[in-house]
Amino acid sequence: MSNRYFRIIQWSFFIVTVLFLTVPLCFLVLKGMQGIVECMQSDEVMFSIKTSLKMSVLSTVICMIAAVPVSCVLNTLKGMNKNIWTKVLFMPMSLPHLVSGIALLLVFGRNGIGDFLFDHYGIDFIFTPQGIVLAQLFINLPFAINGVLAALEELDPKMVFVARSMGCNEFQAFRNVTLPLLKRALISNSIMTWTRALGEFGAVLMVAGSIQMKTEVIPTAIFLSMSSGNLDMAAGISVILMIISWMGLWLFDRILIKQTNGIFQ
Amino acid sequence: MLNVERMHVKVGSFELKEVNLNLNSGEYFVILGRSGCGKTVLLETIAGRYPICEGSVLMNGSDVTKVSPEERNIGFVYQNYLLFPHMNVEENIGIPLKIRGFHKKEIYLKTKELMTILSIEHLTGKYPDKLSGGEKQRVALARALIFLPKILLLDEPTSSLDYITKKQIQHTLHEIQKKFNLTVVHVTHDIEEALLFADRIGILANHSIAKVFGNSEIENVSRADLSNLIEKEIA
Repeated sequence: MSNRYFRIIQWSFFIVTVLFLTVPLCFLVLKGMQGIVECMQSDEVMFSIKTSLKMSVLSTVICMIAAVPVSCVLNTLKGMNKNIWTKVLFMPMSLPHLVSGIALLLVFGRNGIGDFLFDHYGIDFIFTPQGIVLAQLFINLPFAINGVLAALEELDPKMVFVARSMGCNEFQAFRNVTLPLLKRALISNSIMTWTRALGEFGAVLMVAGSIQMKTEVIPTAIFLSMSSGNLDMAAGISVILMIISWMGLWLFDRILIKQTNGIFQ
Repeated sequence: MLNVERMHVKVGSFELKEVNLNLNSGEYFVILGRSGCGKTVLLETIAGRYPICEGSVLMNGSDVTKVSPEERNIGFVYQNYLLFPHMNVEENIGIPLKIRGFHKKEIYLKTKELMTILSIEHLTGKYPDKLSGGEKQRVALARALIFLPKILLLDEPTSSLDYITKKQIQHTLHEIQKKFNLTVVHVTHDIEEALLFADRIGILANHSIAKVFGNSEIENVSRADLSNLIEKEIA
């Protein structure tokens, strides 16, 4: 094949892919802009936006706090051990989110430990806002662990050993060397985790349900609008979700990644 | 000062067996060996990176075999420097003191002093990615020396440097060792470099220290003959 044809094929794929990925979004934005004002005036939609933002930020924070030590442990394992534990922890990644939701429902519902948690600690996850965080955490934690683990594996273990040899104990080496070197990976992982949490639907629906003015998040609000045949409202909320995601990414980039060159630069 | 007795260490499928080393205080001991013969593993094991299967490591008579790396008080300089990229030169050099709880002012003074000794005071505020190989090596040396270690382990410290920088670093090493009266274990595959520094030379071959050339051999045998002898041992 000549260079010319090879390039034509590559560019053809490129153009078709760009159209495939952008045209539907453009249509959604055009349609959604008409419904945005109506959405902003709806108390229900505004409630779902606030709930989505609060819960997604909370679940992202918990996710990253848990992902770092878990990844560190995985990184110290070798061979079969590492392989087995990685596969176990990444299992939810391969499941449809609805299935993950059912699994959570079984464990944290009345048939599982739900009653025990409620009676002893007053915590209830099913059909409550806490359930939203639980579902988002369950879906996102394996992805977060995967991201942090990949960054840890790229880190030269000799770097940590040098820190140890000059007097750092394990925590000091982690605090002064590992963590700063993971900074960029942690920030980009937080962004990805947050955007995934913001858009999580299946598991949230199963665990927290879609109770108006209680457990309604943006994706469930879209789903309810579509179910009632209000396409304008559904498109409007979708555009709001897109704007929030992009503003979040932009803010993260401006505020947090400034010193590490930024993901958009 | 440093006694390694019948040390057996296994790292993955690689192992060192029956390694014996006895170093006197202030001695400059060079370990020569082919690439991949386990020179770095030997140094790292002395510094506490790998647990040993058999034998013992003693420093000043006390058994440090099971002592963690941070408690051994050993300075380590790698071939590729391994400076912390998120810290500038002073922070890199000062981190061992910061860990030990020194006051900021004291860290500043000691860092400045060492930077002057190593002629790197002009690197103040620079980050490792802006330094040349020779500068990085001097910073790595300063970082390894600032906490006054009992022993300094050098893993091919000049192998990735150009000829002129290599000579300068060799000169610096020599000066530093005399000034701080350091006990140094320096691994290299460069016979010329070994002959330049060594009080004694150990040959690492067949997973162990195969032979040690003493001070008298180094001083009395001609360089060419000694080189030939060493080459035979390494081969």
